[in-house]
Amino acid sequence: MKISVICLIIALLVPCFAKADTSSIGTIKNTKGEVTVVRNAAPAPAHIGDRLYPEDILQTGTNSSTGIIFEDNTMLSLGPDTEIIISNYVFAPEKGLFSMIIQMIKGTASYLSGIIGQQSPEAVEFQTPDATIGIRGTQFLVKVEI
Amino acid sequence: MKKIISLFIGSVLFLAVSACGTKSTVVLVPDPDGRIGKLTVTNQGGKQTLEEANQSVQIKNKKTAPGIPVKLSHDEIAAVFSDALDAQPLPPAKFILYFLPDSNLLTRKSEKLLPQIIQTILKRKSHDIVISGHTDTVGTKEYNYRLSLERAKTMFDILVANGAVPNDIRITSHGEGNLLVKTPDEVAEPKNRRVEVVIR
Repeated sequence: MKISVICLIIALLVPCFAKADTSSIGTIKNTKGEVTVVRNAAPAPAHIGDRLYPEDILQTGTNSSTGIIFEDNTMLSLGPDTEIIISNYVFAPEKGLFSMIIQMIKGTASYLSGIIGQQSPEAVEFQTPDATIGIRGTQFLVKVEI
Repeated sequence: MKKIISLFIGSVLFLAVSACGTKSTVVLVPDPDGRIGKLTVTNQGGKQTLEEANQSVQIKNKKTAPGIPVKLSHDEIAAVFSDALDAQPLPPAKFILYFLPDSNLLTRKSEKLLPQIIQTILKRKSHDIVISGHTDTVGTKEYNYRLSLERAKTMFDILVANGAVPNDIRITSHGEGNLLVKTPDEVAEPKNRRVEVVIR
């Protein structure tokens, strides 16, 4: 009985901790056409001003595009029929912690380094299905054909 | 025997298809300030380095080394990437304001920047403003963390008094941990006593 009560309390508390731990990592600045954010496996249409969180998946449809700015001022814009996963993102300059891992599944994208890229370039990894891009500044373009 | 052969052919075909599933192209381009960075493109087959404007490399699959870098023309780049490039957000606007020593009072020169900051927020209709407070290295780390928080809060109050929405503003305090001008400890440096306001 006691154990089940403790379990219940833990079960109720865990989501609170999880929520408190995740702060937004970027913002959608523009959208054209069909732009979708998939969070916890649930797709939803993206709007200007929407916040992004670690592990978000961003998708654009035909004739669609979107532009985002991360907390460290990294800018990423996507062309049509594109899909990326923000696998990891940490920006805590007060603690000197930086990490950014982006996986590109398909489509076209433009990337412009921000503070993480300037202060800790080795912390940035941009992955395509067949290679990893290491970045020593500043802007590049990627296309992944399936 | 026939069965085994067809099974073998089938699995070879499957492997071939999955290995050639994708193809990537990476292009290094000058940034908005005209600077050209440097990229490394690495996979199981090898590595290529891009360090010239509009140099590109193609990757066929995980196991084949990235190809020899080739320079692309502006037209070739536009043909593939114009949609992604057109979707680039307006770069963030950044202002740096300086403070009097050991104080949350702005210098007179920095006070004059305030109208321009307010204008920028209104013009961009920004809901995404970050204020970071900083100090020089005079005093203890703990003291400076609180001082830089005071400075950031002062700036927050000024922006809110001029019409910015509190929920649109995020405050961070760096103390002496992020110097604009690198100095040893206990050095008074006017350029380090600052807040930075980023409007996105």
